[in-house]
Amino acid sequence: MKNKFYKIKIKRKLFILIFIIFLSSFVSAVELGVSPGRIEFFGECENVTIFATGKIIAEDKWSKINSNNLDDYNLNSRNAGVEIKYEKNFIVNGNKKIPVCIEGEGEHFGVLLFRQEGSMAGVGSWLYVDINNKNEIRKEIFMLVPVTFELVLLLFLLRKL
Amino acid sequence: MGKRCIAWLLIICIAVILFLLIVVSAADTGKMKVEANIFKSVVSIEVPDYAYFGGVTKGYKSNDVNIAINNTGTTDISVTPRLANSQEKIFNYTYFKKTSSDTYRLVGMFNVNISRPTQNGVKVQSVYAKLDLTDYDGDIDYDMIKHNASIIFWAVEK
Repeated sequence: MKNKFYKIKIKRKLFILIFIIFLSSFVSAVELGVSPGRIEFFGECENVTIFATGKIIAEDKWSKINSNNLDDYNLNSRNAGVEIKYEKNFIVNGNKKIPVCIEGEGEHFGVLLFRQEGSMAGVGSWLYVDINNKNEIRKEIFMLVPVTFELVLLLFLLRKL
Repeated sequence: MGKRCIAWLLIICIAVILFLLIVVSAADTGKMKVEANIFKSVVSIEVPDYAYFGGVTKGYKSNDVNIAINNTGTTDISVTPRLANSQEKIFNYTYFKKTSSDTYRLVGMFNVNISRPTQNGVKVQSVYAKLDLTDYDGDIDYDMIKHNASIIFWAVEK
């Protein structure tokens, strides 16, 4: 009698466990990633890599101030004075590189948002645009100028001889 | 001094300068070269695609629902839950908090920071959510069975 009672108790516990596992199988998790987390534009196109499996929807938002708060990004590119080109809808199976090209004078702060259709996950890359700031490129050019000049002069003199 | 002599002198000078430039740039001879593959930061999250608040009547609130957000990237992130459709009336009354002792904040007003995981790991951050219709000022004229809306958890680099 006691044994029978224990068997029923164990069966009931097993049933509850199986029921919980059955219920939990309905809740799945979706993973979504973007790299890099912050992109700087100085007049060139840059690549963004998306890590996901499924249909991705992309959009850009802009702010007048440099902020890490998404709520501050409530302007569209036209209002911010920026022209941005990228794929707005695409399918990713693993990872995909998306070229992003930006045109527009001056300094701008934006965020490029990606979300997977039908999921609760969304990721964003901060965008910093400074089209006038080409100091890095200029520095490299200035380094190359004296060496090139000397090589040209050397070739010229050797030819003269 | 002839033109030929001046030219040779110039060639020697330029050759010496070029030699010096090369020597200076290669002055690290004898030092160990170190090399690594450096990767760009990755912002990545994993969130469940479903949360159930149960049955809620106007003037009442649901039980706390635990939602686990995983930071699966390589950088510290800030996560902000937002309604996909801001016109949604019922789920505009969704509240979030980080710990049980925190006070609830309305969806859109809440964000949580999650530090980056250890090497190749996952950092898990649980948040509490509830649907609180205590202050709901609209009319609910009929039962809305399986009423739903999308909340997107937006993750950005902190």
